[in-house]
Amino acid sequence: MLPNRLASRAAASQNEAVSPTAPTVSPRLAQAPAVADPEVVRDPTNEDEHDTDVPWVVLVWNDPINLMSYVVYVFQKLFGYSEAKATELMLDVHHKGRAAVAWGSREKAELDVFRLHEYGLWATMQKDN
Amino acid sequence: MSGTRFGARGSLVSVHLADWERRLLSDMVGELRSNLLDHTPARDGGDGLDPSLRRLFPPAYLSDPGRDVEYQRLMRDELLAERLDHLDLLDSTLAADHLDDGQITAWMQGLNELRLVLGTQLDISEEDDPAEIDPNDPAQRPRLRYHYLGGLLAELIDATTA
Repeated sequence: MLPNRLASRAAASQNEAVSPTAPTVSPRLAQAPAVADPEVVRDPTNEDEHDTDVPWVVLVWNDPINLMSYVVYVFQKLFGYSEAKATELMLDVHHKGRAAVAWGSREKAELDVFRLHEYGLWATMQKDN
Repeated sequence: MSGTRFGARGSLVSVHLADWERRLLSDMVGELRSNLLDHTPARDGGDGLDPSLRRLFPPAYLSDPGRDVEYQRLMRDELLAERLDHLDLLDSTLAADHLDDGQITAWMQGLNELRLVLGTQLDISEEDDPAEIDPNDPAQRPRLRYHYLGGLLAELIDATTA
């Protein structure tokens, strides 16, 4: 039950190999200062230059509320992971604080983040350097 | 609580909740729905959001607040609409005997949202032990509800994946 706009963006992202989609965010916004958060992995590169050719990674972060079985279920349902792989990723989240669960274009990553947020998981995205 | 409140039944899940559970869930869903409508500022990038709702609207770009403001501007209304839709579906199927796939998803997302808000309000930790809660202490009611919701969600997942 994704919003129409997201569904159309998902369809667009499937065709990105032949027609890269434009960034959705104005480049000037990328000039804003970074958040002072000790858990943040900083990206030292210029964020504007390679939006369409550098893959993005979707991270899920540990939190004390979401049930382990729920996280495993969501990973399987959204990404089609086997139970073993979804469990491995969930344990990475639990023990290492975060896990990379999906990769792709910026548009695909935004869609994946939105779907994870719908399920209440703490998901973010960043360049996959 | 025994683990018999949901059962696998082909592609459906059967529901076996007591009347008090259905009333409790309806009350909690109604409270969250009102809270979302009253305290989710649209397109503000996070400023002014009720602290108990922050886990329902997390940042997408953790290391880039500029991009996150833009993301929130575009997506917060859609995420709010999705949350209200599945809370409505959960509420409208509380009396149901069976749930289909879409209804199961709405129940899972709704039950989890109730836990996220309660857990945030309670500043819950992974070590929080329901065995330490005095069920006769009214002040402990939110913690009881939090753990009740966790048990319910776990049973629904078990029935769905059985």
